[in-house]
Amino acid sequence: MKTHFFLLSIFSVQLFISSASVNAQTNYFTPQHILQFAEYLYSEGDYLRAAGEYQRFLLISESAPDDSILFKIGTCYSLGQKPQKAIDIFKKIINQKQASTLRDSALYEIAFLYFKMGKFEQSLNFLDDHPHTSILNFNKFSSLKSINYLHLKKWEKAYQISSNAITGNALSDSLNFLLRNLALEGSDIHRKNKLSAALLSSVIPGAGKMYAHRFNDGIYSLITIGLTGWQAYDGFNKNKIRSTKGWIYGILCGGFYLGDIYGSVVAVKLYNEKTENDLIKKIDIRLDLHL
Amino acid sequence: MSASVYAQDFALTLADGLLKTGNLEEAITEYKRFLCFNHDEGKECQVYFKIGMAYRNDGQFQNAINAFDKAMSKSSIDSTRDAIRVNIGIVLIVEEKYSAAEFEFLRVRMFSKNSSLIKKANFYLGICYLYKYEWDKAKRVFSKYFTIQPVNEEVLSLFSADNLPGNKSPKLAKWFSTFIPGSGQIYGGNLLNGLNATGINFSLGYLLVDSILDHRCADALIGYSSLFERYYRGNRLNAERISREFNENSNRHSAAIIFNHISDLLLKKKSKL
Repeated sequence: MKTHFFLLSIFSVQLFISSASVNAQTNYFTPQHILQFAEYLYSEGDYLRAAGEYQRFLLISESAPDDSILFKIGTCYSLGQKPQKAIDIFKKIINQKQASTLRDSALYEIAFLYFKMGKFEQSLNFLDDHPHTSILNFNKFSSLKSINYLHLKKWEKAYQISSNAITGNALSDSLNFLLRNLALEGSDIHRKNKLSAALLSSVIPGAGKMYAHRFNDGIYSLITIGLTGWQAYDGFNKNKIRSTKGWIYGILCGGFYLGDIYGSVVAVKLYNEKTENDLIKKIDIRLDLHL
Repeated sequence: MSASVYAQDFALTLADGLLKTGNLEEAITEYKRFLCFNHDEGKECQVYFKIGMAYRNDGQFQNAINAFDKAMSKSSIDSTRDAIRVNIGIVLIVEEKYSAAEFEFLRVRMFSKNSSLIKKANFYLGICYLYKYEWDKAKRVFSKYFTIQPVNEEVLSLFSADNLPGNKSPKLAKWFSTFIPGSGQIYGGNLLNGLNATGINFSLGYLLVDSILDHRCADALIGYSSLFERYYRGNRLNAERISREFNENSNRHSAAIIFNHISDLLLKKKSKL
């Protein structure tokens, strides 16, 4: 009740101010001042609040929705870590009946936001479904595609796309050169073979893990399997098939042996993933420095 | 009256009203709207301060500190800057950044010329020491704050040995468990964990020694590498961890009790005034 009364009084004050401002010809809530305030908030880095003010400007201003303002709102949401809202706003620009001059930029921002959200496939699909209109943007879009392919570990495709880029300005040329190098680095990664690891461990316990660069694990497996195997042999040697010790250590040894083979396959899988992820991290760092 | 004055007043009135009714985000927007169009340094400081308070009440502590910092940069009056610094310290206490808060209050205590601000800073400094478990320093600060008898004596009694926690030494606990597994955990106040560690380690130790005495070297090696070593090492680390946790819990509990008492004393002091 108190709040309602307060809001009513605020509105009456606002009405009074508005009428006063007709004579004075200025107040905070003219479209021009709202826009000025939105720009101020944007420059201060208060992006979400700025987005609200740009929207207020669009509501109040009597002219048709301005694409540049919509684009600013999208950018505000993007910088304010609200990617889905930003995408919705950018989509408004590209879905307009009249072709907007900012259509290509909006397309790029949407695809880039999908990329930032880790939705690399979606980013690529979006770029394929919505071709850009200006040839001037060819390199920009192909670089983004290439970066997406790098993150999907599709090195050849990434290389192919960055190779098709048109030589133009120094910045885009150096970016494409970097992307090609990263794609080559990715395709040159030495991957370990799971089957080899399993075979190695089945012949010499622990060898598969050593092959996957897990030397301590490998030695530990070798000692454990060796000792339990020796004890099983010792038991069966003394009491033949009736040896309890032989059976206990035999079952333990068999379990460790099979576990070691399976562990070697997993170790190789993890090794390959780690190597590729290390490269992806390197890619992100280098691109951050470049972009 | 010019239009800009109308507008200034309106923005600030609206913002103040929104702040009072708890519409913190909207209040911040209106304060910022004012700042966008007005560059009077004195007012800017006030408005940034109010923005800081709104952020603080909204739980956006880093934004609150940023706003307070801006408010400080907009004022050249030392006492105003010190008052803002005290508020920064309070936000830091809420964020449990006691060392950073201590630094702010020490600065006010050392350099401010305003005696009431120094007193306020001293009080909060005591709170910092309390939650850093620096009992002697806290005692000294609070006894200077509550100078009137018998309140002063009451404060001193809060910090008597009976009310303060007896801390366990994590190092000693580790050494206890090195020689008698589980004893460090019992010393740290966790009887069940201690008995469990004693049982497991003595059983595994017995099997290990038995294998060695019977010259079953392989059994001894397997027993040691697969079980004993792991449990024995875990027992020592657990003893240290349990003592640390015991200290943290009992210190936090004592600090909370003392804090409640001091809050009561403060309320009594204010009601008398």
